[in-house]
Amino acid sequence: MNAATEQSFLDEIVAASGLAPLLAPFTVTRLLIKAGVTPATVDADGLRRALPELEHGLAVYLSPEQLEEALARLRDLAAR
Amino acid sequence: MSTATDIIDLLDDDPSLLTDAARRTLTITNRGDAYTEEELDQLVHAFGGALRERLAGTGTEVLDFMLQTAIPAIVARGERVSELARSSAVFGVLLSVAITERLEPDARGAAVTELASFFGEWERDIVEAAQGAA
Repeated sequence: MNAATEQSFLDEIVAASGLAPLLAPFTVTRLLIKAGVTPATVDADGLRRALPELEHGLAVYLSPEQLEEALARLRDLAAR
Repeated sequence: MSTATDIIDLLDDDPSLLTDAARRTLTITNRGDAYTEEELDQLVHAFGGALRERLAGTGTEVLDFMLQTAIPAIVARGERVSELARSSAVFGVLLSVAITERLEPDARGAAVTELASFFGEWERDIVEAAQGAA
């Protein structure tokens, strides 16, 4: 994957997170790092590993319904 | 039942207490367009979690996460630390009044003490986090 594609995948994760644009970049980046995944080079495998951390962190900002929808989108991305 | 439990039950029964206080804060501070509805809903949801965990005595995980994510994001968008402190103070007063006036009279004193203690620490923590992010 080239750098542009990798950045694009991070953007897709940010968009899939369900978080408001104000909160999404900081929050997703933080959660990926917490999961031991480097945001700049995250790929589908890294996203899969980060899913538990993302679920835990997104629950802080999202309602249970919003969280389920976000997790479904993130799992789809991770399955690529 | 303890005062903390009474307050948690109130917040669970009527989540609009938090949202209404947040919206009134923006009106009072003349910053009605400072946050989108989506941003406000998510920030209020997180704040409710931070307040509940404090009242329940279960730690500061939600608060710490907000300080590491929401506050830097708000500061990065150009919010001044002084405005953040001002809004937080207004929000604290509005929410504390909204909560205590719904409690039985004999529970109000302890609730005011509990909420004043929480908001004092909240104010300190978000100002420190905002200063660190600025």
